[in-house]
Amino acid sequence: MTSLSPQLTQQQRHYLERIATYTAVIVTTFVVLIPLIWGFLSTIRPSEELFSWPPVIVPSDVSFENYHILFEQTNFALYFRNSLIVALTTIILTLLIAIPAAYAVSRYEFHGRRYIANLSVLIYMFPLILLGIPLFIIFQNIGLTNSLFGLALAHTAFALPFALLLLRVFFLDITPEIEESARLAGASRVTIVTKIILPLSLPGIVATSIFAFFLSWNEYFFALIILNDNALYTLPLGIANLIDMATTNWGMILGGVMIMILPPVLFVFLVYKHLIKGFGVSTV
Amino acid sequence: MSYASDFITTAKREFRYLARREFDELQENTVGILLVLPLVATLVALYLYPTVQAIIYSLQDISIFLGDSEVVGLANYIDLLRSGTFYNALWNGIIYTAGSVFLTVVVGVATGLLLNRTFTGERIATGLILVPYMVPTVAAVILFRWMLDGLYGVGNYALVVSTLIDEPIAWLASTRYAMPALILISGWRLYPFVTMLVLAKLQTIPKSYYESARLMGASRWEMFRHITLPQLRGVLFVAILLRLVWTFNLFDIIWLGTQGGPGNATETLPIMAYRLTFIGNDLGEGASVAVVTFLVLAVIVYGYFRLYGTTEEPR
Repeated sequence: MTSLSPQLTQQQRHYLERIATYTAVIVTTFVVLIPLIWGFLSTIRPSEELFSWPPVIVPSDVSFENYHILFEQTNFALYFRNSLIVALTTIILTLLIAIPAAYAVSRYEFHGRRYIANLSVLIYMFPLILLGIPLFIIFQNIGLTNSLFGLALAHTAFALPFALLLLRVFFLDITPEIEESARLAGASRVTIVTKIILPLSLPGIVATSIFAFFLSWNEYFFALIILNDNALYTLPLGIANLIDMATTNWGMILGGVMIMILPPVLFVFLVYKHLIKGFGVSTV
Repeated sequence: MSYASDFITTAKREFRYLARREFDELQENTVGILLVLPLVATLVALYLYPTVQAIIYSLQDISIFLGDSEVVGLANYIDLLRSGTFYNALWNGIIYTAGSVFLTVVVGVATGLLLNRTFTGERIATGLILVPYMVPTVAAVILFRWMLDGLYGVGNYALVVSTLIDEPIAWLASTRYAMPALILISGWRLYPFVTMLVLAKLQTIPKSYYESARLMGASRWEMFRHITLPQLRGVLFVAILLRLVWTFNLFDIIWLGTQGGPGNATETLPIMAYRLTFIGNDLGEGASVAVVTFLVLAVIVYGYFRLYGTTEEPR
């Protein structure tokens, strides 16, 4: 064993490994973030530098003119507002519908209970297009096209199955003994839910809200089908629409992209712990 | 006055109390059904009903403006199966799905393994590596459209400098390179999904497995082969299944990147259904493509289960 001449000592080995790990982490992180870094640099550099070959890597000057133009000359602020309205409505509707259902599925024995949970999985196999086409006709008939509420409703339908699975996991984490003793102490069903279940599963409710927010904030397809009027466009539709304009002002559009990315990315760091946990328990 | 309001308050309280009692005394079965009712109603109204409608439309000769319609049976489907555009879209969908699932799984597993190591700044690195998943699709596509721009794209510049290509390519406008570019965008946007699943699973593998393997003199590679990979099997089964389904159905990245073009070089089944319905105004034909999309997918998923879903069913 000792006869191998270039054998590294335990210590040296350990150091090499550390160096390899750190290099890999730093390089991977950087490579993965290149599109975002480049996008951001493109928004703050002078516009003539955007259209030069070879490209200038480090901006020669920093200006936030693009962001200014975005808010002054386009409907960006309006799109942002619309997106926010739709996302908040989606969160509220999702919670109102999914919390009772998830609670029932996790606590009560009733006919069809098992199907509810399985149904949710099946639903995610549906091609969006298969829903989108008839939904357009249905919504048109009941006046929900060109309506932010209509869009929020579509997003809710889409968020519900996963919201159900996620909330169920959190409800199941609460031991039934707590409820039992509350019931023995004379608490009603409603009291048990409002005073015990909801506070204890708050992280789950927060996680579900964030999931619904992501979904709605990002969603393009239903928005494309349901919204026709530029004043009602949400961010995905509005920004995509800016590209199709005759002269593409990349600096300005990328500015919009940066602002749109900000809320969800900030969330990742806020809910980091629940994110991994939520994923772990809901699928494995 | 005060007496009256007192009375009303008491009555209200009494009523609420009675309502609660009433609710409390309901059978468990009834309560359960009452609580899931809104969910079921929403899902029926927004999934089941539209799906049935789509099937009905697909059996008719009908335009998006409704108006005169005529039941034509399976004619739409027969036309479809006789047209070359259908097979083109089907093939594109398979290439696109295979390419992006492969890319997301490879990058996802690699990043998952990397992030599972112990190092300072783990939390920040994990957050940053997961960031692309939080970037809205529209944003991701625009970022890549800019980087892959045929005239000023920095991606082209990097490739030219590293002599991988001779001159800049207008990636998304090229029949030949649009598909690889779309696969790249999807890969970047979606790999963190696999990373998260893999990472979550890796953190549940008991350390003792590795310790006893080390005591028995197992090498790095052997530990990976015989401990890590088998443990990841279940989670990879789920990850690939979900990615497969979602990618095959995916609309937004392709539509925003190329609209199925140039020509129909990147047209997949969902894009074809959308174009037929909302641009060609042919609701009947569009709906039939959407239904076929679902059927093809069902076949693929069935095959996937038959191939890989055998032992120890992951749930």
